[in-house]
Amino acid sequence: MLKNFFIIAYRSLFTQKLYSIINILGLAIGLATCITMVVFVESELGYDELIQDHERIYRASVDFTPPNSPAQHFAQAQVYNAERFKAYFSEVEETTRLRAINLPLGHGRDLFINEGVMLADANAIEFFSLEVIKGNSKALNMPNSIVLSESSALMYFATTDVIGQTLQLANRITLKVTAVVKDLPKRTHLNISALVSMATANEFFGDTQWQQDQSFNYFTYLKLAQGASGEALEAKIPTYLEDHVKRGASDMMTFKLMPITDIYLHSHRYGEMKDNGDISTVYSFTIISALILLIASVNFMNLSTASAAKRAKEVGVRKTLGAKKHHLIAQFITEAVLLSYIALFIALALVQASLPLFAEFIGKTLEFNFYYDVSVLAMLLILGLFVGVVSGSYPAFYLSSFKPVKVLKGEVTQGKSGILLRKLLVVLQFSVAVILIIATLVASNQLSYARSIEQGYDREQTIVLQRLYTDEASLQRSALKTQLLTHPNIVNVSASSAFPTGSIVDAYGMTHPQTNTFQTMPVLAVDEDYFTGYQIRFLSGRGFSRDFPADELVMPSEEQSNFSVVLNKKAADSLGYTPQEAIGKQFKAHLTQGSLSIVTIVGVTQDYYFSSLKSAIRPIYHLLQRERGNTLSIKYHGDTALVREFIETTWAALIPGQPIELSHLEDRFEQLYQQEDKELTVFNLFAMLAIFIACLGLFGLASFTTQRRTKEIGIRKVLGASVWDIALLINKEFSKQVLIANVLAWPLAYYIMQQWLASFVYRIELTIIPFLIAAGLAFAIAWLTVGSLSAFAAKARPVESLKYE
Amino acid sequence: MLKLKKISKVFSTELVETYALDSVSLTVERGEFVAIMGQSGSGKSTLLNIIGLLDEIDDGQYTFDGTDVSHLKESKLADLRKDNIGFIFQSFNLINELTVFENVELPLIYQGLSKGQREQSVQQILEKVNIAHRKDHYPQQLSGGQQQRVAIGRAIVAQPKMLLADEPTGNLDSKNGEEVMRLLAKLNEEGVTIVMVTHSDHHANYAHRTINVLDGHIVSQHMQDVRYA
Repeated sequence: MLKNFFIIAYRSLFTQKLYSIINILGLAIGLATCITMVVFVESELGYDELIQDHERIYRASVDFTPPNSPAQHFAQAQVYNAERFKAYFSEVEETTRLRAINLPLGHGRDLFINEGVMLADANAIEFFSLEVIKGNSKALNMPNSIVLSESSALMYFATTDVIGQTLQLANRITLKVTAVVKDLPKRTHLNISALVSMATANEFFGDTQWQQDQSFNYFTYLKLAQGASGEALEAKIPTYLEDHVKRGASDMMTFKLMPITDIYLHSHRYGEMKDNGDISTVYSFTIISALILLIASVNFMNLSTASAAKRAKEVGVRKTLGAKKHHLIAQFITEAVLLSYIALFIALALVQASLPLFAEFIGKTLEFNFYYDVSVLAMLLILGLFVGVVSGSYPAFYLSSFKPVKVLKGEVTQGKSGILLRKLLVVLQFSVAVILIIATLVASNQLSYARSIEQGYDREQTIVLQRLYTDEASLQRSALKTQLLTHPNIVNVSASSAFPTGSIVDAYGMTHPQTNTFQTMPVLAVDEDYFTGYQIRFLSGRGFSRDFPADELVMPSEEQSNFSVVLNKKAADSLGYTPQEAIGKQFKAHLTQGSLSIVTIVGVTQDYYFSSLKSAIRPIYHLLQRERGNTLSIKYHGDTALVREFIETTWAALIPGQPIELSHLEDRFEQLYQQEDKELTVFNLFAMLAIFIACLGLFGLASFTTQRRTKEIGIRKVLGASVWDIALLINKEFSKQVLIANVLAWPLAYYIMQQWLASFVYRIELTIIPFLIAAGLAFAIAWLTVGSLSAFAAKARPVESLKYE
Repeated sequence: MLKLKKISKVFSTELVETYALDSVSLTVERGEFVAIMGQSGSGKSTLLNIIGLLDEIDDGQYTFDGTDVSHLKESKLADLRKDNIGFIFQSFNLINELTVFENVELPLIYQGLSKGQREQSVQQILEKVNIAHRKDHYPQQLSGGQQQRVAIGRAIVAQPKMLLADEPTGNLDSKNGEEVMRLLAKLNEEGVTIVMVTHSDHHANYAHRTINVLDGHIVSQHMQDVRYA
């Protein structure tokens, strides 16, 4: 019996070549997409689950909301929070802290600044379940100890036998290697290449006051007691704040606890250790791959049901010969499963071929070694079986229910329900395709809008240097600037605490001049050349100038120091001044606890997009504060390579103890949108695949319709219908379905894209144009597909079609 | 009206070539009523299809109404058919999804007539073939004789110069068959050229001339002595 099934299945595969190809190809693409997406999604899940007790570990982060300002979300907390939490909350069993160092580490000339070098509490090794391969887990107990990851050890010493070796931190602190740990697993939000014992902090910071530091610099992890709940703990935080934080300040600050396993996909705070993933990407990729598989399966059902008429006679004959309904169902499902496995086989080949490209493109390591893994292999077999059975079941039941007498008389065949179902399925496919086209269009419009929008500053031919805050570099800052300016192609060099495309996180306290309320002022420290260098336009007043020595803020030489400020328009607005009114106005600033300064507004610039368009333009208070020029922006003209080389040699000569960190501002700008770009490309690709599969289905279906109506076409031609008349006739049928698909898809697409656009502060208006284009495309695709077929049928001599009885 | 000169039609499969028509010559005058007879597979239907411009010839020359149509493109042939020829089939070939009225209306739609013109012509024709009372019915709801009358109505509604009938009575009982033949004879009297394929000697007698086809050749022709009224 089974053999007979397979023989028939095999033969019908070959006799209906076109439909078999369409079926298998569509399903193979669908399955390949689905597998690729599962591999991707799988690689994004399960982060930090290798850490022991991960279900009890939370990270405490600060939400800071200055009065009259939007909230800022930091990944870190203050240095003392961990200890206080542990003392205050009985649920907190253990804590550990990490603090990024960002200073050169190495020996001799092999110096590197690596963001994964952290100051860490003594228990960090055990806390994060780091696997010690040399030394022991007590390695962070003593001052001046450093624990290296395996690859760091290899980088510095070319061996992992490094216990007792020494490294220099910031050219002034000698650290002894006390342990080597295995590199972190791929799936972790942690970025650790070396840990320096927290006991080294006194020497590192040069005083013992570091434990009073107010800034948010410490990644703070809490391990809760067995059975304690993070949510319950978070609910108690307001009480903690009232007890521990000064009145007034407790309104501005709160802590958020996030399970460590959620950080990678759900946390997008300022100062994350790594670029985290995004749950919405995982969702959207999952949805789109499910849709593609759905479309492919729908094709399958559709085509099989449509070909029912062709198989009807076979069913009749078999039934007369004694076949029972279940025999026939089994037969048709066997056929479907056979097709599905062939498709799966092709899909696996497709995945093997395309996964490396896809992985490289999205910048991840993706692996799919199904042949090594029995469980994956089993899953794939089940997937093939599932797709085969599900997509084969409807056709099987439909076909097997034919009445033999009617079928043999040739009375069959197109049950009304069958036709209706197929129409519905086509509508469904096209709805999905239309939604995808609209989404693709809107998304690419938005992203190109983000690029084209006037940023308000000049980013062309600008090189930026970072990390001038180190002892060595900050001493040489002005010398570096002077020397760079000697190059004929360098037209401007300006120092600032951050540069555009970055973020402004520094803030001082101030009193609002109109309302007399306390608030913070987000500050950007710049020098006199910043505004000219970036060509930022002034709406009123002037920029900082060497002609006005009183502009400068010098800290902390005096209790009372007065200085000038340049506002952006947003800041002027928030103070209630027009740009013209603002000039000469004064307000009080509080740079340190208890100090008071009088600040004079000397200029107002137009608003410019300091950060990505995803966040709104915020008030900026530009201060003239030379010693906080952590970055250097170099404006040049002419040959980039030449200038770059000059910058590098100048740096090497002046600051030999620190590797240069140089980048092009335009690259940085591109990077702001790189992730979206990549996602969009992947999305485009899958949208195109979905549309392609939908077309395959439509093509198959249209060819059946054409075949079914061959005789009618013949009659009409005999009566004088032209090729065009016939093409129109067949297209009319499908046009209706495409129209309905559009009607269904539009509101849905509108809703989805509104939601998506809402995540951008500066966004395009959702116009009808992408909807019209999508509809146009859908119609064009349908017409081309169906039209070509029906034209082909219509061109044949009518006698051919009349023979069709 | 039409002139076939040594035309051949070959059906080839992978293994053999079969001459459905082998060097056939035939002339049909305007106003004539010609019956083609022959056994199944003799080539009579192929001959009719070629006369009706539904099928192409492999050899020879075909002049239709003064035009050489031997090598015209399908779209040109379609135009000629539309304006000159009406078809009647053994199996009626009505479109099941359309009503009687709409079936008859179809050729006029393809000729681009206005709705008013069409309605008038169709109504007239339906009365002529005596089926006006069923005009809103679908083909399946009619008897065979009624269906064939609708088919004839559809064939003549565009006032073709020539009517081609492929065993028009083949699926009908004798009473209905007779009725259809009388209708054809009447149309012929009104000036329509008719070429008809038939198995029935009796019905062939309605024609002016009978042509016998065997194995792709015209083997004999004779004029009818008596015409049934």
